[in-house]
Amino acid sequence: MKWTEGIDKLGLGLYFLLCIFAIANIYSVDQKLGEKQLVFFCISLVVGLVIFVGRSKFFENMAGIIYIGGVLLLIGLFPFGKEILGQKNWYKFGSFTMQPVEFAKIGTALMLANYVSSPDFNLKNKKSLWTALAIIGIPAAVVLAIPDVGSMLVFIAFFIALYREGLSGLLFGIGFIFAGVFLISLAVPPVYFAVAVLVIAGVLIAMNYHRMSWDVISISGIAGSVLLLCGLAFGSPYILEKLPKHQRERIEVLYKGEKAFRDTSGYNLLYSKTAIGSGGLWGKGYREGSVTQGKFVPEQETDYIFCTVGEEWGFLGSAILILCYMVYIGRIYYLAEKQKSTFNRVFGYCFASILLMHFSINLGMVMGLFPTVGIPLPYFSYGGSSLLAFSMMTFIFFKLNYSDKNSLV
Amino acid sequence: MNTRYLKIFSILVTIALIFVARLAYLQLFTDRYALNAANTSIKTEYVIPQRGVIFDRNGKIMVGNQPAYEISFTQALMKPDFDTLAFCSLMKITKQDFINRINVIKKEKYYSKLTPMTFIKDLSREDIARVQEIIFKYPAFNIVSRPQRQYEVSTSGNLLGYTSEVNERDIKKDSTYYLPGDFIGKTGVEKSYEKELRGVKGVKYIQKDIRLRNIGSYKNGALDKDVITGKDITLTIDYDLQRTAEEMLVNKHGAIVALDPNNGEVLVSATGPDIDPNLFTGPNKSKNLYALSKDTLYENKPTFDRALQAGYPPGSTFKLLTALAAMQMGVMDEKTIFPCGGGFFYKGKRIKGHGGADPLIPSIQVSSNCFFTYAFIAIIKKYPGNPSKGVDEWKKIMSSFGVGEFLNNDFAVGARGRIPSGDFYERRFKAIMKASGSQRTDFKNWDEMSTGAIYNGMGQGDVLVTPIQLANYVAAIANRGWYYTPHIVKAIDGKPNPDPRFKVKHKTLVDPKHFEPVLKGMEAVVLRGTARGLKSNDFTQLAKTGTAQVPQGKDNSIFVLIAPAEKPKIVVVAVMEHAGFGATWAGPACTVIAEKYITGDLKRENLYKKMITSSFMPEYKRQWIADLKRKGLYVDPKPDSIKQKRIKDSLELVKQEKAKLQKKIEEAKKNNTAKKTVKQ
Repeated sequence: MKWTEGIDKLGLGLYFLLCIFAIANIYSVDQKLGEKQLVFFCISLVVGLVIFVGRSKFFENMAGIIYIGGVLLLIGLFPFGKEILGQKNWYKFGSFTMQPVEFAKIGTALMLANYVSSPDFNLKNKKSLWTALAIIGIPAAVVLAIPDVGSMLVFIAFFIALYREGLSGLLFGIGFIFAGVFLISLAVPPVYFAVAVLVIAGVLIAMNYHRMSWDVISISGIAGSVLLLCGLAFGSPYILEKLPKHQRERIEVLYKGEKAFRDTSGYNLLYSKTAIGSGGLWGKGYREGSVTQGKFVPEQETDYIFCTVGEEWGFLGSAILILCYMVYIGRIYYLAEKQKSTFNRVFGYCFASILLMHFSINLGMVMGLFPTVGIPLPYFSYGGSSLLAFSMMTFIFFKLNYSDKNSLV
Repeated sequence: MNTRYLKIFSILVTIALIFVARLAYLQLFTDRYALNAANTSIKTEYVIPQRGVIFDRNGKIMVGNQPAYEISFTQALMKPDFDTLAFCSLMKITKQDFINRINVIKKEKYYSKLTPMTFIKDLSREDIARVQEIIFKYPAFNIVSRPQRQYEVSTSGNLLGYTSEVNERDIKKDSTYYLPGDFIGKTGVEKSYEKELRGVKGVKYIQKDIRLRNIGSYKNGALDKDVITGKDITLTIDYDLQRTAEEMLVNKHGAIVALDPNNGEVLVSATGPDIDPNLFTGPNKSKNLYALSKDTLYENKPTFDRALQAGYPPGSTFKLLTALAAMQMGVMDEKTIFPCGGGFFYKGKRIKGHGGADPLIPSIQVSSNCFFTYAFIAIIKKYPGNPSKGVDEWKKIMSSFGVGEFLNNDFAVGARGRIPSGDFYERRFKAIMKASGSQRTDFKNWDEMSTGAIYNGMGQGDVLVTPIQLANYVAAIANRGWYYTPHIVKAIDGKPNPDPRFKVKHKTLVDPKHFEPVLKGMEAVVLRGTARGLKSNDFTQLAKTGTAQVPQGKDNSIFVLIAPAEKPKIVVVAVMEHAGFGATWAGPACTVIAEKYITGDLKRENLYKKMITSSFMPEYKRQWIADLKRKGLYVDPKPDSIKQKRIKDSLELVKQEKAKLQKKIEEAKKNNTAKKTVKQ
């Protein structure tokens, strides 16, 4: 058996492809930053190599320490953090800055995998469930307190991993329904919405009529959820009112149009759409994007890097990029599912779900499908911490996968 | 396999598909964002070409260009620390003026934060020199160079025309070229040769960054277009002659047109009153244009180009065409004699005028009204019982001389004039019959007398001809039956005017043999006839005088001239409103132009002097006042009270002085007598 056999060539190949394409695009936005990103990439490869030649059991054994370290780093932000762009989530050592939240995600993933793989773990057991929730909740709460809403949302990823391990899907269902109702009822008058809820409820009841037991609990449950949904529909404008102004605008801009907030949230969205939309089918050509070159989109090298792809590589280039991400994330889910050890599988699910959350939120935001939330596109956005953290997770996972393939168990 | 794994997987695929669909919408199915990108990230800069220069036929520059500057304003570049007062003192405007100008700009139809809008126009070179060094402090304000017309002549404003900012209609007509702020030829040659003169704007696509700074050319200038300077135009006009003609039209209403009959080139197209084209430039341009358009005092109307637009009754000069048409229609020949002994009596009507029972040539010589009225009656009566047929046949012949139709040439304006048709008289006859309560129902056989049709023969009735049409038909007579369409541009960028319209030899419907007696008659006019006072020792002339009666007042003075007689080189016609006899006013003007063109010199200076010193303004004023009185609008001018008092005072003073003097004289007398008595 050759030593290279356990290396997943598709996964790692896509990793290299994404990183190098990213550097090319960052270079198009700003040459200096592109060069710096190349340096970060080299550092990431060195770290990756170290991880690869190291012991695979190291991460399982050290999960607790890495987790605690990550949480401490997050807490340390309160006294020592540096405020950049209104968020106090950076450490600064001389000219070197670091975003600990990226690393905290690794710790959380390792810790969660470690805990779930422990022999006495059982999700039916309340103690197990609460412990798992605590592992996710502690760093998430700290991140929310910073406040960094975007990164907090990424912690939802861990629930996807738990879902795979048997957590009820109802939680997601309810969450999605509430978020959906909240957003839709902002755009649609609540009265119409309430009517729609009643009609859907009626149809659902009619369809399941013979299966239903007409006891007090189920009737009150149905009535209660219908009331709750209608209440939320009427209440959502008031909830929106209570949000801070910039967050409220980021939601409103999605259905009121960019023009209404031309000088604030609308500007970013308008110009990110302008950059992407002006790319057409073939794109304007590498380093030829007039919106990119004119630096019309703020933060284009970080959160809005996809605009450059859209403008300069057109529909074909950006659609292929989206497909690459889909194949890559799907590959990780697939590999994770095939792992023999629970630790490996849970870590793999955490990793793929973190990627999925970042990918969905970032692209949704850039294309105006999701409120503006500042989180990077994995491997693609400029930034050393982000690239290094994602690379570390990548190499840890592929190392685990490698040793899993080569293990005889 | 775990089914939850598949659920997660399908969510992943769904999300990716949603993103691809969204991408397709943004990039392929809406152009909103592509347009926004083009509007803001790429700035299109236009380089305004120099307009073509206009020369006269001898290479004299008539219209050139001069640099002109304006200051543009871009709202998006306005900084919060903008020092309004310092800027105002730099531009030498008040703060209120500044605020007003900005407010006006913001209300403009095409206003946008990113577009540079004109802030101040028509700055002089000195202003620019002062501003140039300092304006970089105010990035929202920029100097824009837009070449302006410079006129090297001070006459012929109507002919040359003016340029002015495009209006909405101009933009709609050629929306691919014109943008707000561009200039377009509005009248004259500037209008009719706009496409040649304007050149092609240069376009530069410049990439802008978010602060609207230039960051280089877009696509390395692959889409840029070079500016192409407008084509230079050489007119057929001989400005020296034109100027002489204009001088002779000073204080007169009328026109002088001269053509080269051999090719239809217009040598002179002068109208009175004339416009100084320098009124079309400079900061008072729009005020001047407005004033010119509103100047109707004494019917001056300077923007009305009488040479091209005014339809005049041609008077006796039209007798030439009557004779030609009558001979061609076979209703007379050169030997025909009409019953004119002792004047014209016809159906109880008498027309005064010279004449005896003479054939064609002497009748032209003395301009016999009787002869040509009979000739026209013969035309009307060619088909007994069907006068319309005769008149229509005549009209067709007239059309072949370019009368009663647009000339279809390269002037910006023109008029059709009028040659009545048979139908015209049928309708008139019907109206007359109805008004008189007659029961007659057959209007086909109309009466030439009551409809006034008989007067057309001598160019009085319902015939109207513009001076350029007049010159054109005289040229056709000079050529014995053909003409080239009169045109004003000889060459474009040094190459002969390629317009095919001016290369067609138009043949008239009159047989060349009929022209001989007419030309002989015109010769007799100069040798022994109505224009014998205009004879020249240096060249031979063929001419015809005209004195057209007009309802408003004194007769119009008309004259047509061909010279030299042997091989015509020039045709000159002149019309002077309410001046009197043709030979007295229009005649000298024509012969002076012909002399200057043929001999290159002004030999009979007395004629020229007479022309430039005479004024018909008092007659126009009298008519104006009479017209106002008729309409009941006239108010006697109020006596000037200050002047009156001054006159009164001075009269008083004279009286007092006189009285004083008288007193002194009387005293002196007394003393004298006293002394005398003492002596005695």
